[in-house]
Amino acid sequence: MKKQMIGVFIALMVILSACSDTTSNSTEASTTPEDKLKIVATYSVIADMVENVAGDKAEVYSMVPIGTDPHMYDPLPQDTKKISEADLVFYNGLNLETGKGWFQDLLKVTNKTDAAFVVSEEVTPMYLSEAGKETQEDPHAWLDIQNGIKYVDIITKRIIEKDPENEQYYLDNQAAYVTKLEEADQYAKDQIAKVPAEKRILVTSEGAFKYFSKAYGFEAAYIWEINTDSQGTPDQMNRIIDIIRTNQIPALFVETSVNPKTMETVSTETGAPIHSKIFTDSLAKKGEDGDTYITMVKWNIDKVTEGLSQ
Amino acid sequence: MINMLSTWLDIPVYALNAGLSAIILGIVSGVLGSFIVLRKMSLMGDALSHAVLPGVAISYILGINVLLGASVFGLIAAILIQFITNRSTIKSDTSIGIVLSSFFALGIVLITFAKSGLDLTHILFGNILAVPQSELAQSFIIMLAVIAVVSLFYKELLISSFDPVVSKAYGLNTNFYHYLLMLLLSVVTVSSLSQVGIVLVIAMLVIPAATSYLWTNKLLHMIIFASIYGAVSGVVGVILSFEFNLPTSATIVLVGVSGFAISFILSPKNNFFKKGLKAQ
Amino acid sequence: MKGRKTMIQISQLNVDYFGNPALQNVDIDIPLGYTIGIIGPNGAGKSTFIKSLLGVIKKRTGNVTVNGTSIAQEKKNIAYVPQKSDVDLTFPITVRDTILTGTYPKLKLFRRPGKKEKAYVDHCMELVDIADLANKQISNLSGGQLQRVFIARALAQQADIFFLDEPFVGIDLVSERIIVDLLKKLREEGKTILIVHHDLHEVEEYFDKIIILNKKLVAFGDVSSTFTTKNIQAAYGSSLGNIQIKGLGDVQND
Repeated sequence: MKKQMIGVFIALMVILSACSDTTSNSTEASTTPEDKLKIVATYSVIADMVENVAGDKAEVYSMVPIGTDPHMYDPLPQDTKKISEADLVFYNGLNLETGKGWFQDLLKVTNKTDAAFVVSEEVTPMYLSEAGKETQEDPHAWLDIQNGIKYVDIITKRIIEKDPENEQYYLDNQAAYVTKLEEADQYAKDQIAKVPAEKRILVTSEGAFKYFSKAYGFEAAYIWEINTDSQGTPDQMNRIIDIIRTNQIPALFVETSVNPKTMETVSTETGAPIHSKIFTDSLAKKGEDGDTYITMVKWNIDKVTEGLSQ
Repeated sequence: MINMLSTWLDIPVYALNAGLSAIILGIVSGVLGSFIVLRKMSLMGDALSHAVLPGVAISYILGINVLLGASVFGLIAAILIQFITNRSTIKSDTSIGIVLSSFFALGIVLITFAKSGLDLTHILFGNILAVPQSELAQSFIIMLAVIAVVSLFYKELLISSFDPVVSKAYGLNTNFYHYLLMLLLSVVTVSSLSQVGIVLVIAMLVIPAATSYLWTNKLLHMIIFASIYGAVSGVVGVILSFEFNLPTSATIVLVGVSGFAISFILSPKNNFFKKGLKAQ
Repeated sequence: MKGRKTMIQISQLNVDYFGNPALQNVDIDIPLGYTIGIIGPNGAGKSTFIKSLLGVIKKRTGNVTVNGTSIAQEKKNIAYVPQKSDVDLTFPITVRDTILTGTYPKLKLFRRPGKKEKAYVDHCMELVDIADLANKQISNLSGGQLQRVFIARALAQQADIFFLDEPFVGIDLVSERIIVDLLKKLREEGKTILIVHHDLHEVEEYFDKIIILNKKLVAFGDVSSTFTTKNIQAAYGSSLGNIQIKGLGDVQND
């Protein structure tokens, strides 16, 4: 029996290697010429920024699908493959991709820890406010466009380090993109100025708007603070319902990457309508409004100011 | 060493990792699963994978090794299930349901107490694509340990599974062997959960052994065939998931079940076509 | 003459079945070296009796010794053949391997059965005439063949004492004959055999002594003096209607 087992084992390894040969030469429509940079971003917001900087000199792969929460993600074989072939990997950090440790484990297994860079390097972190969690960072820095600009700076720097030949190209892209971002930031500030101060309370499911609120002059209210928390406990519900009633908040908002049911319950309970969806951890699908970082933030600003001006 | 193997076979390291993880899991599940299936304890795999949650929380709170703490809780759960079944007319599947859900709920409460920002359930819900080499080594050692224990106590495990009445009659401590299996099951469950996830662990404990059962007349053959089948369906599952970009653990399970379905139809032992062929 | 110590001594045996008494206050001293039948009506506690001696069922009270030593120490030396229906026949095991498990009690913890044990198993298979079925999985056997397998297993244990639970139920005449002859041979070798018997036939032919039970001890002794109409009626009550035991023992005309 033992000899048979060894024979079977060897046969297995042969089969495994044969099949794997086919996957590595796989039919990816081979539009990837050898000289394009391969860059992996953990989710769509970062991917969009990278595309704007790298232009046609890189092939960008975004891991977490649109509409899925990047806190907790179950990687698929394609994700591991892309990371293992990547020249650069960009991730948010600040406690975002840590649910189940999916990202760190993936980097370890593919041996890409050195090629991975955190884009929030220059951001001043904000922390969770819940008791016992004050040392934990809040990941959602990019919702403040100034932080988004800092992300872009890091991304540009790392790409240039990897591909110094095309430095000017990247710098030009960066300059153009940052100009647009500054415009968007100004747009945001102008729009929000139109909302009366006492009405600037933003209610969302997750407490993802700390950076946003600080930058644009809001108060952020939420049901649960971070997606890895319990979502919708009795305490949380009572708290938020109270806030909505006391301040007579006219509109609620729900993120595209969370389960809307809890917010719907809050809405029914308080009578305050859910004004629209709002983008945090993910862009919109391609072709829809909000499918780039800039349009996503603009969408958020427009909908929020609209809803709260009622 | 894995890197050498990777270059030699021209397979990327992460794929090899997943493949080896699947092979190790397949073998250890085949060995342990054979006893579990024959002793009609198939629900125990599911029960234990839920019952270990409080153990995870308490290990974290006390700062002890998670594998140890969780396995101890697994054993406690097994003892409790046995206790409820023996001291009342409540049947074992009911006791399992009661203990499984209450321990899991206790675990959820304790995790909140542990106030860990870490998602503690991370310990329990792994992904086979992200198994670090240290954990791979750990599973390998556990696999060897299981094979060693089963080997040492083989005849006692055989007879207590086959004929517990006569075993008791000649003085065998059948309780000991029951709890020995439960302990092994706890350890294997906890270590596998954190690597490959709950779906795969439960499936691997049952499907290879059940498939093997349809083809064999001897316990030793059943164990060997189950181990091989477990390893093979693991590897095939990994290959297919890479080929078609599917969730790897789930693909392995579906491959395993397909083999089972084919065996169910074709096995002479099962007489599916009423051919009247008796097994030889 | 056998000394006082060469017997199985049972005192104050009380066994409950879910709170109700199944056996009450059974006191017997069973001398070794005889074939003893245990008879009584359905539900009399016959199976319960031997199961409780072996600890397969818990007893409420009772002390059981073999040759002065607690029975717990002697179990390796007692071969138990339960009712056929108690075994999982779908288990992946062949006839030969089933009989091989009979050698386990006498093997130390980490030892496997070796050449010696395997040769003895072949011998036991010959004794019950089942060698031609050696590689068959046990669910493929007739009732009689299966019983012979379990008898062979008991033989393989090389025990001095045998407990058999209704061994003659549902088996063919050929198998029954083989088993009866085998038991007689064991008796001649000085073994002790306790058999729970399912009815009243063949009692004089099979047994030296009988124990009559009906939830308590009704009678115990040599067949000639104990297997009487009076005792049978005392055990079975009116369930047998008019019965006469022909041959040995009192005959009452009614």
